[in-house]
Amino acid sequence: MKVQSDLLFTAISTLVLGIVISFHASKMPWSCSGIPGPAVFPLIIGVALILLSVANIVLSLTGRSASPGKTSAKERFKALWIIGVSVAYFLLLKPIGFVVLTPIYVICLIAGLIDWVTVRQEKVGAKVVVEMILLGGAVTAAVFLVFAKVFLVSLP
Amino acid sequence: MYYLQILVTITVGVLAGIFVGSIPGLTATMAIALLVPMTFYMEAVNAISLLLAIYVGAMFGGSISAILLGIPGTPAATATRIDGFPMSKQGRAGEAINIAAMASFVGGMVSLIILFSVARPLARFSLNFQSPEYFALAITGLTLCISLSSKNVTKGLVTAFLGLFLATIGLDELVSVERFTFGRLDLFDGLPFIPAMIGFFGFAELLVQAEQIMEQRRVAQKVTSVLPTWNDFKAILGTSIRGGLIGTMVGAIPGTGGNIAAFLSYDITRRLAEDEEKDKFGEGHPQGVAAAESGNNGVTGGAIIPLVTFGIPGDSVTAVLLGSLLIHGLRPGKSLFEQQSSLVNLIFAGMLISNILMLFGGIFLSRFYAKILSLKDQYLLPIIAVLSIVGAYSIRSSLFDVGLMLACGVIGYLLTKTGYSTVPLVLGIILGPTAEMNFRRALLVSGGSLTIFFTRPISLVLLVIAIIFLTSSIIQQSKNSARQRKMRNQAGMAG
Repeated sequence: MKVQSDLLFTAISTLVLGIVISFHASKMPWSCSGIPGPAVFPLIIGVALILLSVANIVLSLTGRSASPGKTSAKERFKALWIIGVSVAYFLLLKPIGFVVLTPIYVICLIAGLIDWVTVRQEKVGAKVVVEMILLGGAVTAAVFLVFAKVFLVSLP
Repeated sequence: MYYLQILVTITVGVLAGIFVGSIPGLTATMAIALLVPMTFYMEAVNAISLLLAIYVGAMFGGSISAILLGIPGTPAATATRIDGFPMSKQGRAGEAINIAAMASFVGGMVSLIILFSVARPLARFSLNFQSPEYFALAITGLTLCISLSSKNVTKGLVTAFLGLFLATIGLDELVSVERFTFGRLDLFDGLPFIPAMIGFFGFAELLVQAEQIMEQRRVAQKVTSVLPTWNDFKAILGTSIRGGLIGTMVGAIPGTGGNIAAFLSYDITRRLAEDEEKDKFGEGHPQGVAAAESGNNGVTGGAIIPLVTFGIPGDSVTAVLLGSLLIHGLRPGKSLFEQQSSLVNLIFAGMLISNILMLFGGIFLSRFYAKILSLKDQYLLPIIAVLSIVGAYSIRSSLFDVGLMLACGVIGYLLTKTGYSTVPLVLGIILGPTAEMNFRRALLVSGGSLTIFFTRPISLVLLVIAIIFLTSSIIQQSKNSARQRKMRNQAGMAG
């Protein structure tokens, strides 16, 4: 029986979380002047997570739990690209600022999502690049207008 | 001027809802999660009306792509595709959209009438509820959600407990002890709900959608605008009223939603049809479109019933709505109806107008929506990413909230990819404080004895319902698992 590693990974992660929650909760007060203390609920949650995660690990190892479907490396790249670019955007937002960074962010995201092989075959590269730049500028302008000018949010 | 402002807000909401709902992959929950930060700066009536208008619009919007592309815009429109897409291929796309709009309108109106009639008495009934009942209600709501929204109960329970854990973060309200804040001031008031929700429902969905991106531009069937006649309306009225009733009942049960309501309504309509008509279902039967669409729009009013009366959301959209109500200082229950009576009436009136606008928007703008469907996912997803980040930031002007949103997005994505539903998780975050506070208060009253939850009739009934649902789901899961194993073994022997 082939064990699904992604399922096992999630189940082990929730097991570790359950242990961490229970450990931290055990150091909190059980009772404060007659009121059930702040430890009670987290401890129930921690223990429940441990038990359920063990059940999920057993179900994964015995093949009784299934993943919703396989994702190809190409498909997974797109999600990872968005995560990577977004984390970089988050880290650079304060030093560089919203107005300068957002068009670059949008262009980078589109660049990673577009199938450049098809674009090259259809010879529409220049058109796509212009569309990317226009969209990057338009999205930044629209969001800046709504949030900074209408809702008066001070964007970084 | 004041009412005009509300009317404009509702119009924008309905159109935006139809737009978002019609784009495959973008759900009503995602639309509302992304727009909640904007409503933070509005008055309560405008804010809630806008969100409800989006909800109503998006429920109908899903049918447009189901009919024109054969791809349901929202999960709730899956049943609409069965007859809507064949109609569209037969050159009857305009007629199918008209039917969907009229049925959605009737379904929405039926649910609104029921909401209007039962909400106040139910809110009064909530006076009988004290700590043990509120704890039992929160647990029952969560359990129903796990049983009905998760294919795998153990996974559903894990995400619900994750949500309950996230709800414990912050300063303990009763004794001011820090819990899981790791010294971060940003977490002292608890996990910021809106950024977390944008992460779980907006950013996580965006990542899942990015993997399923369509390389080719979508090709929509042509729409020939035809105005519906009174006879068209009469022909689907009965089916739509029934669909509205089914939708309202299904919507009021936590964890269900438009998808289940639409399929149930479709199935009942097909069963009730005469024998010669039955065979036409699936090949472009107008009653099929009407049944599905009235069912999913019937959910809009139904899901609001437990939300405004007991503070228990009926589905993921109303979970987000509850967050918005709380931001505006509105606590569901009897006090909402007594102290904010005019506000409640305005919100109900707003829903009525939303349904009317959706009807006209659906009938007159179908050609325009057909054009929207050709938008490329590659251009749409980055817009959602920017809105998610700016939305998370705007609530407290905090970069910490952006990081939290991204983290929740990645966790939500990983959970979804491994078959865990994030709906119980968000419901856990929402219901966690209610469950914990009332659990501890009840134990304080009973002197630490758990029997208090089983000796009070309402609490006992609620907990018995929860136990029955949970047990039957576990039995069902093990039966399914045994059946799958047997099939695999047989396939292995045959191979």
